[in-house]
Amino acid sequence: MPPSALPAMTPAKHRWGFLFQTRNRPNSRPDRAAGRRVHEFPDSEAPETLGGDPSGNMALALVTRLRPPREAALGTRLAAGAGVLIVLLAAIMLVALSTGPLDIPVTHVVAIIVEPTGIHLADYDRTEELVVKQIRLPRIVVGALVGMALGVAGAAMQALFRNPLADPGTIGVASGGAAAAVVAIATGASTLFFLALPLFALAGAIGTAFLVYAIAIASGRFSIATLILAGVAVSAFMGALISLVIIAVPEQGTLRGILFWLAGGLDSRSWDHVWLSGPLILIGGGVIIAFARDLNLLMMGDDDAGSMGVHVRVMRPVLLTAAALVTGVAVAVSGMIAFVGLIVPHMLRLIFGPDNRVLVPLSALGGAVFVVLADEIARTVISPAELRVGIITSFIGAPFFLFLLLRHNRRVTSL
Amino acid sequence: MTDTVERTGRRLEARDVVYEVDAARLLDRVDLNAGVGELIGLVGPNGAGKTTLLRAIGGLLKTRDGAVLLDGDEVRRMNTGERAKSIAHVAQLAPLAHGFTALEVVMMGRYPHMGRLQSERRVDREVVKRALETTGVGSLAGRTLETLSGGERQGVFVARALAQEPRLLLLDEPTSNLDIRHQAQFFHIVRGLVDGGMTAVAAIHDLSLAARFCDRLTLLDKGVVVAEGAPGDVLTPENIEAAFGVRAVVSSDPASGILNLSIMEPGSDGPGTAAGTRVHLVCGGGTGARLMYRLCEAGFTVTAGPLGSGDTDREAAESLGVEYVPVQAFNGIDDAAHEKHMRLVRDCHVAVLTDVAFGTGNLRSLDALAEAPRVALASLEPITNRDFTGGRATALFERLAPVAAWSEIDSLIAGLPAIVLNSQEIER
Repeated sequence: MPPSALPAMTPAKHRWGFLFQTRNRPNSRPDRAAGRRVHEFPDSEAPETLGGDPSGNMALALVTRLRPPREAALGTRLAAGAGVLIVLLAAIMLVALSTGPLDIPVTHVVAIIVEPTGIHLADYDRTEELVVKQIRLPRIVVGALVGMALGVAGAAMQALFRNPLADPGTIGVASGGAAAAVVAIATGASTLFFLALPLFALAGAIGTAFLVYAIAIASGRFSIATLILAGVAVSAFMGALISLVIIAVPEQGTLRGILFWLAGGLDSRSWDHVWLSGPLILIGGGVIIAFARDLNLLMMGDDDAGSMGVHVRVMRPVLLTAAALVTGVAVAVSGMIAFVGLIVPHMLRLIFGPDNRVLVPLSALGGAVFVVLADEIARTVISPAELRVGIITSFIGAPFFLFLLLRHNRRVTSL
Repeated sequence: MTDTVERTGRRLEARDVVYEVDAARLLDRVDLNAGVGELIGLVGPNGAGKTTLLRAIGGLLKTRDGAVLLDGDEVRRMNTGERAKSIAHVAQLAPLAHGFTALEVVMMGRYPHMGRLQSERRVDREVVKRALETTGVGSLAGRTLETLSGGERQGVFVARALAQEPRLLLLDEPTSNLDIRHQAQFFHIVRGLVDGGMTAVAAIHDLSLAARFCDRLTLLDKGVVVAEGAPGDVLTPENIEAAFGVRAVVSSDPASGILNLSIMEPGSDGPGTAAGTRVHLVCGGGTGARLMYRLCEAGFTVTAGPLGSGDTDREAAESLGVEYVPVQAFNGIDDAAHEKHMRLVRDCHVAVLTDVAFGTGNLRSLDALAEAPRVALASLEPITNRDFTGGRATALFERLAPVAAWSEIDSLIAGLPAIVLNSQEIER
């Protein structure tokens, strides 16, 4: 067992002490003594073991109970969380690769994937290989990348704005990207050249972010409230622009294209989309993960962060730019997939605590899991037709999040 | 916690610090020095620039002019990491901690000592543990800040500052949300750190606390240093009135030597009217104590007539520092006392007669009233009801020409300046 941070002060009995909510602290209620934002168990279901969850929701039981102790060293928490999420992501990806109009056995999927390394596991036919490699895999990889981008950007925005309602769209990135895409679709500019639509959307997203930031610093004295309000105002303007275009578009087909795009989706994403979005999302996400420590301190306020050694005037624009970039790229390749950036960091915060060094990387993985899972549901639930993934993220994500929130209702007020 | 540099001389030297926002000068040529092992208190009214000065010292502001030197190095020239290892700042408003535990918050203080992506080392954990223990919040390490009381939270933020292992600790009104017990406890902790070689500058609202725990004080008002030096030299009634615009009674506890300050409520009709008006009270037997207190509080200069030993009014005069004519109880007013009384009566602007009863023993005090420039009455009782001299007191009373009479203290205090002012104009 790795040494807990301060063994003398936090007498955790053993590694899995978190399974038991009580601590060696007489005369105080366990939840108060532990002082966690994480959930309390109602007395009726004090958990002795992992089993027997009355809700019967095993996924939830897994998520809420496999919670590493807060006093565990940072690396332990990160490794535990990342391990679970990576396994989960891999499993969902495998399932997603095998399901669809053409059923492909999981063994064949694995064989197709490992084949390039020279290991031959099973025989599969050419169609299966094509479907997996050229249709399903790029789509799933784009989904994972988009989920990573939204998760990381959401966690970063919530910390930068010290506001639990912040999400990747807070400074107008999403609506700006959407407005540019909608205008491109309506005017036909989206068909001008290869990847025109995502590039227009990306330009719109980044342009809007800079516009909002410029407005916020134009007042001479930068404040977070100004930035949020400028974002809200610009978003409202972009929203109105989108509505205007939708009303003005005469042709049904174009209108349908716009609405499809607005709901967010991953259909017919190709490797081109992966190459377009992948490097930018990985770079932007990497920057945010590298500066996660600074995010922690920035949450304490500018003066506190500055006096503890954070170069606030450099750090905040860098982090904002990175968050805006990854959000813009995600919007460009998938449309507006709602809710991911807002709830994924919140869910993980309930489980792993607020430390951004853990939260930001796990939000990347959690976002990927969430989007790939939502896309899998969107593809299969009314197969062979498809739902839009943006509908699923909200439709399933919202009730699930509310359920978590009510379970942990003691900590709703704080991040 | 600190690298106890046994050096005499100045650790912190702020010279001619000027800070302006939109042409408003928030700090105007401020000087401040602090030696190793010194706790400097910054006092002054709201808006005096205490917080601004602390932020300027901490390098969080771009000053317009002047220099802040820490052991000879200019703070503005240090990079943020170096600065954070040298100066720690505990802000006035404890930030919302967003679910962080005390331990996590304190560990943030190690930021300048840790590399990016580096996880905490043994030395970091040890420093943090020591910091938590120093400020007495070691047992709270695992609790989130929301579940802590104000005092405990303050302890956590000071521990975070200590985790930076600074040479200079800046505290901005660290005890303003604490009760008196935790205030004292807090300053004992800071005092302990300072005695161990730390240098600290603290903005402190409570003047008594500042006087008690600080080695030296700097009194700021409107961005300017009004006074600087030992607490007793800085916290004089004159300085306090100049900076805060209130009258204060400063006394030092005979047993402990601790400075005691009591602030008088500012007069309702503003300064300038009551101040400078000398009111002489002829009272006794407790008829004047309350009035005396209220007059002092409103800012009048108060004197009192002959008061016998053991008289409630005499005790009131003693505690308020009111000049009076001491006499032996039941012995009457001798010539010397009468002379002194006559002098006080002549010097006042207005003499006020209370409901005091007159016997042969104190009759002379009524006699002296004839010398007053003007007389006002604060009484309800007809003189005949309190005349125990067979009509002699009534006769003396009839000779007086009172300019006003009040039955309520509030209206008397409101009305006194006016009658003094009016008759002065007539004299002219």
